[in-house]
Amino acid sequence: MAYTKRSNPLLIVAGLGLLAGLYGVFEALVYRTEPTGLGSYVPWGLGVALYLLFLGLSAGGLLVNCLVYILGKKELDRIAGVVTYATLLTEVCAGIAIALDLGHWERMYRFIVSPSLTSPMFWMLIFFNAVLLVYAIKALAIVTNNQPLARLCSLVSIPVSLCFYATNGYFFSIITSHPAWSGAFTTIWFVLAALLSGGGLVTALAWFSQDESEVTLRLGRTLAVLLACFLIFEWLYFSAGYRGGRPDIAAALTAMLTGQAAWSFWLLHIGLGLFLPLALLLVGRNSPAAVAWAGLCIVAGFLAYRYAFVVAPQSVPMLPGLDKAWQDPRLTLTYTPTLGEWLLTLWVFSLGLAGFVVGPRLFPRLFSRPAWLQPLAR
Amino acid sequence: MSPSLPLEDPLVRMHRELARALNKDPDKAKWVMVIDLARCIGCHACAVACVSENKLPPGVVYRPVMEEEIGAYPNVRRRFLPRPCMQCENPPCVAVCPVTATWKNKQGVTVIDYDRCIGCRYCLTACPYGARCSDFAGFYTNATAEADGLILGRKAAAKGYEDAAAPEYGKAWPPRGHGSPIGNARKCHFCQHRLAVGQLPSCVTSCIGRATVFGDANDPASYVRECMGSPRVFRLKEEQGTQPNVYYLA
Repeated sequence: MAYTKRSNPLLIVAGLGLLAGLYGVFEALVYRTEPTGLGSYVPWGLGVALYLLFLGLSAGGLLVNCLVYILGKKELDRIAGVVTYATLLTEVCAGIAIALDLGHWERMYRFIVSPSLTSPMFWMLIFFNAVLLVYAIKALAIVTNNQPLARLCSLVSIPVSLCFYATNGYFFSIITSHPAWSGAFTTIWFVLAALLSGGGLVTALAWFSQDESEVTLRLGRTLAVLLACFLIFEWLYFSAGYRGGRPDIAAALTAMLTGQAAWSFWLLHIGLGLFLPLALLLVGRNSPAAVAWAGLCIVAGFLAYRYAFVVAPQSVPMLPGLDKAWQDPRLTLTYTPTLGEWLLTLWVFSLGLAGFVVGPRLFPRLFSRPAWLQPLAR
Repeated sequence: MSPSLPLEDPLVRMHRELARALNKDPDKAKWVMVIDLARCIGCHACAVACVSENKLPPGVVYRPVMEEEIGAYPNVRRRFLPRPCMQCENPPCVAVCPVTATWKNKQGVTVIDYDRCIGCRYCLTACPYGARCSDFAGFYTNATAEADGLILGRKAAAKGYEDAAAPEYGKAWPPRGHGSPIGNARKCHFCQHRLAVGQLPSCVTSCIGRATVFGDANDPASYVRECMGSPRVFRLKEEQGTQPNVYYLA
């Protein structure tokens, strides 16, 4: 796809977002966690949710590579370039989001000089960089028309990406102090959630950026299956949680369904992110535009899901009465993101949008069919 | 006087035992705390003493005292439960730290290297007791008027507390600025800096009911070992497998 005039309004929106969001970046860089609404009993909030959203969006590469190299859907290789670009861009956005959420981002070199092999966060960083590296090489291979190398990178990326997305789930699943997070189920659910949200993004890109109707429809069918699986998983999560007889799990689930951010859970996640795309995929299954919009809806609704998953379980006290023992705004079970956190979120989103808008200009070869597929053009 | 009453203040005995533990190889001591809930009157003196000793900012507390109301009127009682760090034998907070900024020292106390911590707060979510806090750079004097007047201005008010360096881990942490421990995870460390000079943790010395007992679990003659053998003893969230080194007497 060439850079067209219709990209200009999006570029302006992205530019305005980047400008407005600068304040959030400044706050995070200079004052770190001080201006956030976080506390010691809810230490993770919008920043972690944003990271999880973008890392999920980066799973489009894994989905497409699985479809091409495991299930033999070779036609999807036509969008290999844009998918590779999307994976790289969303990973960068995820990395920025989580780095700026640290109390001391300037000490990230500690991951290298004093690593802890027992920490899932360390392995998350390893696999994060491995995915970044593999996809960077693949992008280079596509640009230089090196098909064997691109194919090798795609094959290598499958286990590496699986490890990355599973590690992110494992990261939460070992936290037994928050039982709504813990358990092996979380690891599997994270991989599925990543495939769904990443699939949503690449489906939208296949149509809006590449005009690939056949590819879009193929991805749409995959999205429908993933969406159905996700709904089953989500039902299992709530059903098992409520029926398991653990009051702390039930309290966390109730906080998701009826708590402070319940409106976003129901409207954005369930309504916009699951049922609307499901309806679009069923009703407009033969319309690439409808399928692409379904993909966009999934992407848009996923922040609410990640936010609910991260914040709600932390609203349950680890010990009954702990939140009342010492009065301070940082020692409560509630969390409301501050303006600075929202602006930082806006900045990261705008960065992603700007990346997709200027991508065709900067990397035209990634935004066209790989050269080795050119003779197959319809 | 009843012969069942103690002949000396338990603090005196604990001090003597502390000196004994430090005189032998200090690395062979294993610090343990026992809190007798029947003696805790909920005065919060331990929590305040801890805040004062470690120069903790607002929002950081190492030893809050939880309160619980039991029963229905007229048969109502209140129960108090101080909650320091449990100094677990199997601490979940240590395993999750990605940069080995926290570990168990030779005496069984979980400590933090403030200069290594990246402030990811993974340990906060992993601790089943909510015993870790993040330092969000709060200042008690934030809302204090700047100008001197009939009452003290901000600078003068800060001089009494916030301009003092925190003494944790035997190092004078600079008066409140933007460096560590701001942005870090912080927790109870059994007042390592006091133990090093032969003093009991501040929560122990400030306990007016002598409800907090501290000492070397490897000393069979110690008061703390005696308390650990009580039939009233229990630990919090045993099912988590953390094996806390803080015991409670019901």
